[in-house]
Amino acid sequence: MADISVVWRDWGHRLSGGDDLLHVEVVDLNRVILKSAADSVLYRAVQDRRGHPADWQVLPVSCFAITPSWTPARLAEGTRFSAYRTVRASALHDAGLEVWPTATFTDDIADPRNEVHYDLIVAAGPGLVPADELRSPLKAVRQAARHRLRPRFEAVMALLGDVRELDRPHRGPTMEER
Amino acid sequence: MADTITKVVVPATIGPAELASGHAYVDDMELEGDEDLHIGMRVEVRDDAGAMFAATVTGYRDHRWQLTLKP
Repeated sequence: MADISVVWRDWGHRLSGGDDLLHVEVVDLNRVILKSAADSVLYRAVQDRRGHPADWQVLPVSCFAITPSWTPARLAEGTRFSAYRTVRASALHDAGLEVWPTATFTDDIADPRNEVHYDLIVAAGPGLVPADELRSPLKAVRQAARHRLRPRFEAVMALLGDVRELDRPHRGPTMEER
Repeated sequence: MADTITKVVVPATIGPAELASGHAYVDDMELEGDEDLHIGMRVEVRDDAGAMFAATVTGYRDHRWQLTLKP
């Protein structure tokens, strides 16, 4: 079975402190937490590149650099997202957070936005992801594990700006609809 | 009285690469825990923006389910 893969990105956009990063707004923070925890296992090769010890894990959150050619509207192409938040890269660096240039693939198919894709690292360290608890058949156990991770994500989300609605181009009526 | 068929809803990220490949992937830890997924099962995928996609469960490995999106 193919799967998702993530690699360190040596090409494409280089982040500077004045750049803005776009994070797709996901209303349910639990979804952000669980997606990050689930994706953690995909970052081993990237962590090796960063020199992380073998027992370290990361909690990544996907984001994209906004550039003149990669506008929010273009970043939304091929997706259904309609809201996002932005943050200045320098604000993340000032908060001590790392932002890694990465590229993601699904069944070896590259995401067309890879040249501006970054991972905001919410946390890195040993024993970070309580995978067995998050997969427990007992909902109370799962909930407690999520609850322990939640403050790290809340702290990062607090750095992001207000929610903005995407200005998607309006599709006018077709000839048949007129 | 008509029967009501309720499909299981699975959360997953659906982006351009997932749409191009026709597959999305979801880890057990992203599920509620009572979905009882199995290969061949028809499900609905709710992406991070709340959009719904019809899909079939087509694989499982290392705690990750493969979902094949209906074209």
